[in-house]
Amino acid sequence: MSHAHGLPHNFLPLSHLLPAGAAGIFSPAMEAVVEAPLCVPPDEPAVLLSDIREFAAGGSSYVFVVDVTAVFALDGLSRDILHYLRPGKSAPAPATEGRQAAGAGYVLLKDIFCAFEGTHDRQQIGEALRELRSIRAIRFSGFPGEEWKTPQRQLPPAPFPQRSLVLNVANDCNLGCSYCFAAQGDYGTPKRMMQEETARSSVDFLLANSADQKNVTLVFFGGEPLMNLGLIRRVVAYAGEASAKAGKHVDFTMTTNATGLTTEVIDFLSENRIGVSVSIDGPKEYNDLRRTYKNGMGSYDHVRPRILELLHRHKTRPVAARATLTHGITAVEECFWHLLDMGFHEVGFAPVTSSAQEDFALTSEELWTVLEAFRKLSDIYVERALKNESFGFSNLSNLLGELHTGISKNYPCGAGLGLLGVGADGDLYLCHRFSESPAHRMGSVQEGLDVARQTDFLSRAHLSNKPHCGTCWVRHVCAGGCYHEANTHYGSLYHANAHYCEWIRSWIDLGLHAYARIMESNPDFFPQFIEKRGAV
Amino acid sequence: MKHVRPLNKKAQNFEKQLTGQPPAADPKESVSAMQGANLGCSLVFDPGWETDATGGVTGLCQPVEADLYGCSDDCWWPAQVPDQITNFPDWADKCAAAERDWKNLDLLNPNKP
Ligand code: SF4
Ligand code: SF4
Repeated sequence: MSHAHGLPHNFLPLSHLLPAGAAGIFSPAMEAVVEAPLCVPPDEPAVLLSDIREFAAGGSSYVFVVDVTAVFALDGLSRDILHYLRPGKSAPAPATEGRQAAGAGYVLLKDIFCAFEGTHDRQQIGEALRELRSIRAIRFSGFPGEEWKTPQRQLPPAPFPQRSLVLNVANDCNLGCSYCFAAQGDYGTPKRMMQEETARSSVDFLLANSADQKNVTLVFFGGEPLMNLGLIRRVVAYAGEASAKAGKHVDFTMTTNATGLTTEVIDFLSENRIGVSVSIDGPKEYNDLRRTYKNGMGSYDHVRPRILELLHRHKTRPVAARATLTHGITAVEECFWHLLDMGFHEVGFAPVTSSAQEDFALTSEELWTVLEAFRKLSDIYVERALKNESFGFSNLSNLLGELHTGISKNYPCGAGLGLLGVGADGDLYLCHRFSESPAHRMGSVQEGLDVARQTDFLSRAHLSNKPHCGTCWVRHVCAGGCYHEANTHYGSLYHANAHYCEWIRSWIDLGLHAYARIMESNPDFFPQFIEKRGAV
Repeated sequence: MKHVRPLNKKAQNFEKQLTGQPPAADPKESVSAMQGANLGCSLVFDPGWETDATGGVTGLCQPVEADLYGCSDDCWWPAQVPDQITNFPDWADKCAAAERDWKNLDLLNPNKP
């Protein structure tokens, strides 16, 4: 009959403490008792801000609740209450004397009532407080269950289903782009082609380890994957049969430099619905700066007619351009329009922030120039979205997709967690960028995933181990950033990419504004254009 | 919710969670389950034997009478009212609605059957 219960000894009925008329606005559990809080006198319930980011867009106010990546619109009262709670900020003309508690940001409950009762009735103030608390924008101090708890670090359930494998089908490249992270295509290891046996084992591995995932993705990567076209043809056929047997669907994508495209190849890609992403950096003058043949000759003139044919003939999937932004190239808009005019459905930019070789990384100043350009493209994006038109700026589409779902991440990307790279010999790596790096090997498709290494990686890479990110408001969106960049810049996978935090925060802030503006005026844009794109 | 409005999917799920779902009756979570299932346990606040500043009960967050039931059937709190599960199952028969009929509830003396 009796339940275990542990009432702290210093509980008092809250009804004695609440400002008159404020009773009934909190949950019964909270009204039950009041515990003597640490930072305010024991008889004074107080309120404090949680970890939030407040922002205004299109004349309305919003709050982004950091821990849960949820976005809410605020009415005037709830917005003013949040402002009132900001440490060091003055209250919006309180009707009676209101006091901002110093230091920890505690504000006495009764002071909030005082500050707003001139303009709002108490019932409303109480309601707004309760709602802000229920979405975790504020916390109450002095109530049981309101104490701040260190979030329990939870590793993803093992075995984690594999969704994507990125195959290094050709550990070689016919170009010699100076900035290439794969060291001109071979990752600094002997040039070789993936053999059919290995590719088949990769397909089997993916199907066998995808648990209940119905759709899995095979990415043909390199080096330059088209240098091993024969293998790609055979593996596409094999994957089709094997997935049918397993009752699954395999989606194919490829990243190529476009040099090897012929009419025949393009027809093969189109017939098999292979999604193509072309690496090209913009008009000739920018592209040929670093995307060159090994003899130094630029690649633009050679790839342009091939790309035009691809865009014309490949009808089954949208074709994306991926431009790498390196030191000296910040003409983002010019590159963007050039590529869009060529006929690409989408253009995405990859700013290089760390570089192992020469200094190809954008300087901090250049990064901000890039952000300004992103801002202009985002404005156009929003305008178009309000007219229910898509705009092929991949970076923003990706970010909007994440913000719309509200995915809260403890890992920056799928590397080692659903996505793995497969080296030319079948070894598994953290992701495609770590191909052929023995330190980042995680088993092989032949002998299986090295679960011990994966677990070790996941427990070390968890966001809670990145002290730098602990108080950052974008931590569940960014989660420390790309492991490869971190490894290049800091010599450790597990380090936060602290060298571009300000930039990332500004970019995500920009995304939130765009999100709110589109969502408020044309919410249908998301199911039509964003949700369909799927994970990128 | 009136003052905040969910925008993204996470926020919408959040709101559903907040408004829907009765708490699970998992014995490990007996405390929170009780808080959701009945308002009559002392872990939850029944203003009970209190009056408001005017000496009345209307200003309290629940009618005072709620406490009478709150402390009987499904609650572990043994002291204040008869236990209706084993010893006095008929105790509240004349009291269909506590806020109206509470005066029909009588004292009991367990030593005088
Ligand atoms: S890397 Fe920087 S921007 Fe990203 S979560 Fe950590 S602190 Fe925030
Ligand atoms: S580690 Fe970097 S390159 Fe690899 S999948 Fe993650 S974000 Fe991409």
